[in-house]
Amino acid sequence: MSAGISLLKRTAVEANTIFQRLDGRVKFLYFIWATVLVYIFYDPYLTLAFLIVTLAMAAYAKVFKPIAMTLLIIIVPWIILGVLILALPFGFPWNKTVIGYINVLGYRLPVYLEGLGWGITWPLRISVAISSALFFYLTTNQAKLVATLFKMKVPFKAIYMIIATFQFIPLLFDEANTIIQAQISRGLKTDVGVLQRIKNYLAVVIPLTISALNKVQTRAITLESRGFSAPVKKTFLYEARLTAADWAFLGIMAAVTVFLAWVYVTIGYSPVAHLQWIWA
Amino acid sequence: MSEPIIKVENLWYQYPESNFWALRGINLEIRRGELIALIGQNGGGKSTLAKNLNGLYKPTKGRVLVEGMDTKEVPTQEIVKRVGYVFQNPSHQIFESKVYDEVAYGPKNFGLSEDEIAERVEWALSLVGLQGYEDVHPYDLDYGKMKLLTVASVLAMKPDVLVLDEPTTGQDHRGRWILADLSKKLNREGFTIVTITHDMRYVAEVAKRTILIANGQIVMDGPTRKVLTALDILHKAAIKPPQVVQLAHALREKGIDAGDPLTVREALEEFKRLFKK
Repeated sequence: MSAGISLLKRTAVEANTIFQRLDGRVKFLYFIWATVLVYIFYDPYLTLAFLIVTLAMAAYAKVFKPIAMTLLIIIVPWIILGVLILALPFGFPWNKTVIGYINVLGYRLPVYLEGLGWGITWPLRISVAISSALFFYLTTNQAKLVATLFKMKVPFKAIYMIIATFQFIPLLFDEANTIIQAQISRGLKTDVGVLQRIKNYLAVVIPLTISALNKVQTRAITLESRGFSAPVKKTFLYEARLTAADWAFLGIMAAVTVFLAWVYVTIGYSPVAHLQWIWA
Repeated sequence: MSEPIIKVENLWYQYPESNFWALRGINLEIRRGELIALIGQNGGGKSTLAKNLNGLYKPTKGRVLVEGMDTKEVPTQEIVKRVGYVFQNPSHQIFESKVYDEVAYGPKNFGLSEDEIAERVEWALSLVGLQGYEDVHPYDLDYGKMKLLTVASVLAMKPDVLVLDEPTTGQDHRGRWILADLSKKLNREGFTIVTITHDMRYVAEVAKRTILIANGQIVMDGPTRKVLTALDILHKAAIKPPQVVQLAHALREKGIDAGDPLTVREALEEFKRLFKK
């Protein structure tokens, strides 16, 4: 089972560290805050620092492994490919500063600073966004997530859609797994070419769609039979409240924001690597 | 006694990303022509064992030999030719828009000629009583017939062993009866049948041998009459025997020996004998 599926299968957070106890809104804000900051700056070192801090928090909260696996699958191949394509003379239009040469298959190719910077910074920015979002998702249990979103004035039906998606996707993966097994039992070959593979999808997608529609219909009936659309104010078992730890975390974020604003104004958008905007 | 068609040797199975052993040291031999019921509580390991029999799951430890082939070494496509698996929910496998195409799907995957496929489809449909439905859309069939269609679609692959996963679940009385009758008929035709079921009446009426599984281990394996009348063992495994067995047991406790009937018909014969006395 892929890392993505096992990630989505995670419906409860077993550990109970300070990060699990933090209010969901604070962690959600951290995700937005970190993502925006790494996009404002254009510096792989600074972005890497954000990534390290996020991963360190994830490790403390015992959710490092699924986040690292996701980054390994999505980001590492991207960096390897991106750097090769952008830093070498394969048509990246803003390449102009040669920082060295490498030999590729007997050809001496120049390595460009602009492509190298762009090729490393972009995947790192995405890494920060993914890891902080997963940090929020994996350390916030669903009851708290619902309460958090409700406090954030998200409409109840929209909250349900988000939660149902988290619950439904793993179910669908289980269902798809059973369907694949059923078709393999009827001789479906999985080690085939692309064309056959597309044809194979039909044998899985059609039963999966029918099964999903049936499940959705059943769920809608059961929800309505328990008053989902009742025109009353909903109450929750868990009440989202900010604690001292939440305020401390927010305080650290505010202090870092002030510091980085000063850095931006006095040093610039690339304070450590000193990169130029590629189109500059 | 015939050679085992399937040999399970010290089979241990653990699902990926799980530390729990779903199967713990299963040893089992299935011989050609047997009609076996696999019973046990939910989560006991019945389906996991069955999926190990046709190569869908590969043993974590130990081995499963199908006609002498180790399922760990031989591709699943080769094993499924010999051990067919009919899944519990018909909608998990039906995807073609005609009954004919649905049944032809398996043989087509084996690369058979059109003539051979047509012959197999006709044969399989006639075995389950669905001749004449070739051009019908599978989802226009009632649930009972959909179930029969899934059986036909696996039969068309002409496996030696047929695993039926909960065949009577969701069936009305008539559907249950048809499937019980079909199991016996297929067994007479030479198929080795392994049925996973919670339906003790089906077990009593159909199975010659019953295997009770609990906590990933075989608790009891023997003739169905012996297993279904071992009330203490069944009770420990949270299995309720058929009502006829319960009735005979209750009568015995009252000092009336009504024998060991498993089915209503057998009970009737016993009562006739008692009344004659």
